Amino acid sequence: MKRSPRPPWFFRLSLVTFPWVFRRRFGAEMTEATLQEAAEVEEAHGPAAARRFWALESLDLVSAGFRERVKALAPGYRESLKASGLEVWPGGARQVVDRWWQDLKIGARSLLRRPVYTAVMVLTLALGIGGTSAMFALVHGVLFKPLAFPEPEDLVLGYGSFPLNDSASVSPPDFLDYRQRSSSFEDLAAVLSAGWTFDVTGGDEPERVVGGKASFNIFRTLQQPLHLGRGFRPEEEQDGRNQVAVISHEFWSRWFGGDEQVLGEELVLDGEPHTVVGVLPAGFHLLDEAHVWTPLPFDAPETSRRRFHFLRVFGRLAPGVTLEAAQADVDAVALGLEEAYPESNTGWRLRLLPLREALVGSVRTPLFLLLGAVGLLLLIACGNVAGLMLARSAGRGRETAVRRALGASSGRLASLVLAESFLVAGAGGLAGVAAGAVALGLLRDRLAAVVPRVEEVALNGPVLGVSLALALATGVIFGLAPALRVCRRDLAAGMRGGRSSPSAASQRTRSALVVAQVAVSLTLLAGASLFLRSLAELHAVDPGFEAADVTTAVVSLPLATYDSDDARRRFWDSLLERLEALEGVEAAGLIDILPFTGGNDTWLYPEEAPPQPPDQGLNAQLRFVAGSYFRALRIPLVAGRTFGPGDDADSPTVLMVNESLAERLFPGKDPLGRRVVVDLAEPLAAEVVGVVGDVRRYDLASPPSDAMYFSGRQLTGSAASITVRAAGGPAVIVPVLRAQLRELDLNLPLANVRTLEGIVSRSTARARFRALLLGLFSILAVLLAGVGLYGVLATSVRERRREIGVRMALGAAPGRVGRMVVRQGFFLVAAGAVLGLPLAYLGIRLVRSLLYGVGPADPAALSVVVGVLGAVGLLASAVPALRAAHLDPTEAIQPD
Amino acid sequence: MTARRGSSESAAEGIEGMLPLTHLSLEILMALLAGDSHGYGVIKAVRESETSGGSLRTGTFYSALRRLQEEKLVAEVEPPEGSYADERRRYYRVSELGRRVVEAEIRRLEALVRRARTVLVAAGRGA
Repeated sequence: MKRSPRPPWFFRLSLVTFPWVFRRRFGAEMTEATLQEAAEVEEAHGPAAARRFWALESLDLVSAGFRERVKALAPGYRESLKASGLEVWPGGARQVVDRWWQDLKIGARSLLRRPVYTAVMVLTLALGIGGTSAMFALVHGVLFKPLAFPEPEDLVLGYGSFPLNDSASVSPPDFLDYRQRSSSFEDLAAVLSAGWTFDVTGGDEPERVVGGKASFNIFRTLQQPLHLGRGFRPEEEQDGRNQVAVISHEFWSRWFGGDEQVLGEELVLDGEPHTVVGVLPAGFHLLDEAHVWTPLPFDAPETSRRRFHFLRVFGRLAPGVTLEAAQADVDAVALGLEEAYPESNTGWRLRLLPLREALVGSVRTPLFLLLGAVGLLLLIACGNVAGLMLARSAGRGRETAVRRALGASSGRLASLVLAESFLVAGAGGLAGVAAGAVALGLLRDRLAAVVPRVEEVALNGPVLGVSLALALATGVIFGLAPALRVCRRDLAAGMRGGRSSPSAASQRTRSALVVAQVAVSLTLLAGASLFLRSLAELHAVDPGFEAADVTTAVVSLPLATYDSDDARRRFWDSLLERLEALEGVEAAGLIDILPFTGGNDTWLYPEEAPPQPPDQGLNAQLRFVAGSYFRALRIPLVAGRTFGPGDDADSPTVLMVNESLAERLFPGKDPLGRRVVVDLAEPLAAEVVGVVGDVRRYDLASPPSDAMYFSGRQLTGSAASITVRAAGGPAVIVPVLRAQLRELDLNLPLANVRTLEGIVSRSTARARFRALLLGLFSILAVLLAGVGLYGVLATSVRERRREIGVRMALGAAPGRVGRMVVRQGFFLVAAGAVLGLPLAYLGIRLVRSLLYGVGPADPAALSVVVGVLGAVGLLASAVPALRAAHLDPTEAIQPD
Repeated sequence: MTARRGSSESAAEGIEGMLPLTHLSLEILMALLAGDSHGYGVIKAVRESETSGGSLRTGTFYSALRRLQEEKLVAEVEPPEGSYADERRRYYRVSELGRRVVEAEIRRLEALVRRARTVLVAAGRGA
């Protein structure tokens, strides 16, 4: 006899008149008994009698229920009810847990019975969750994790700021005034902006070590306790009393073998003996890789000039002082300095920003872009798994119907489905986190080149917590649709069903999922395509020089040994002579600061037309070159000549300018032979003898900036980058360079050996990283969407087998049937594209500042996207279409 | 001399304290004495019994069942081996105490019937 699955609503409502504990004990049983009897009444007397039966039963429930409520007031009622049955009742929670545990075991058995299907789901999720976890670890470590200093939110960074540049440096006298006059800081310290490299001797080999020079209170400002010894003292900021050093933990372990008695030991830096007074703790990071710190003497000639800006300021805000208040305070000091020193300080300010923002602000948008992209990939992965689970639940119609007939409620059935989905999500999450950890470990070095604070990136508590939440959320997301579906299933149809049970709604849901997946993967694909185009545009940029086959290295002359301009000049001349004479060397030159590695600026103006005040002249990069530098880098000589042997200390000072500076200094005129005045501490007049091509300043994306070049033989420095153009690369040329250097001076190391191509490439490292990851995500997304599409079409062909068989039996050609399937696939792809295009456009507009040379609606990029999606749609449709076209009509129209 | 009461005397007093049984309770106990059954089975048996008066509704039945379980006259038992019934079904059995209470109730009713017959006969003679 037919039994309704549920009693009418008024019966269920009437049951509520019983006390809860009574319903808990007897409710299900009463419902079952009444359902049984109702079925018998309907069978015997018809539906009207059954309705009367339900009504009378409900009335009886109401009266019995109220009577029972009165009895429930007696003491011991609840306990006696709980003790009366066989089931264990120690509070509802334990039973819920027991039931959930049972569901998990049933789910696990069910999943293990279909290992391939389960593995596909787990791996798909592992991809999404692993990628998202790894990216979140990156975002958390770089952007969110507080700096490793006490009360890091009080730390600020100060840039010098003038109208042309708000990220410049600060001059030492200005810094001293800020330190003395401002009241907003607990401490204000400064370090050399460009860092310093020390030649460390006294060991087996001379070593070139990255370090820093700082005001005495740098470690106190950071509240950085030392592992051993002390920081610097105020009196050590004086020339002659600054021969002390604080070393890093790593350097201490390496150079002194971790000797606890290191304090007081001698360390020879740049030829001068220093005393080790402190050792920093492991993991201290301020400037990248700085291993040796010495105090900066503020009374030396080079630190006494207000016009020379080369310090970065660090400050710790005083308690209760906000950043805005501190900014107003230093602005007031700056105004005072401007009044007192108009020639040097007009327009100069100290720009403050939170230290963490200064360190990571430039990577915030790209990191969030990548996090968003991988989040989209995870959604697509969830879509695929949801589709697989829907397909599975469609095929389990009979099993579900049997369970329902045996009395399983909708909630229980949904619980079984969700248990399976949580198991899959849990396994996918574990696998994903493990894969993410491995990926982070393998990519850490590469990441260090593109993001700051990589040492803070780890799969720590918050990251694992987020991964767990993701796994739970994905379990709910892709389990929900099948769970809801199973609640609504028609019992009779399920029992009849077999494999081809009607699942039109399930197919519609899966089709909708595929459309959504296509839309999302179009967004990713469009993003990747644009960033790849952007990267291509970047690589096509002419930097102004030819980087191939150029090797560079740094040589630094210790002032103690090379204590005069003559001595230094002789050294550089000898070195260049040797280098140019080497076999295979096309050209060799020197420059103080290589392209794309920073730089100094200063003012200059035409001697014939000095501006008032003087520092409203032109601002240009300042470079010192020697030898065949321009030839080595193939920077074209546009007019005039390069520096020659005649340009030495005894001859009039000459300079070369680049094209854009020439045009600005002397618009429309020939610059050769004209004189300019350059601000080099004191004004220096020089004649323009040559014009060279423009060179990009910081990276390929930055525009060329004005540049002037002095001859290193006329203004001789103590450190330079060698640039050698020779075939064979560093492997061939570097040993030769080292040998030549050793012949000149045994104690001089060759440091920082790089190819110029490597330097240029490093400047696009972030763009490459972005494009690579986006490309990877988009390929995966498109593949997943393609797999989802294939699944939908394959199921559709299977379920429409009979219809297709009838069509073919009535004369439809196989080709037509195949095209029908392909059309279905294309329709889904087109629907996804229509949804996805505006989404993609909006999304890319948010990050267009990261694009170079392309706009968000770049036609070339978008046509690639449409092409790829079309191809994937075709591929995904091909197999189901072929299968449909090759169906045997006579078999197809047989019943199941 | 006051004798100490034994446990059997206490038990007898306990059983006596449960009498008289309600009609429905007795019908339910008698239905279960015929064999272990589930709730609906008992409802049907009671309804079909010639002494029950016919109608018995679910709410009324389960209230009575709860009280019988509270008094330990009825206990829930495991479903019989091999039953594939709805998992919501529960099975019940009369306890030993329940059996003795039914016996005591029957003795009480028999005594009542004998007395009623005696009274009727006496009343017939007096008319």
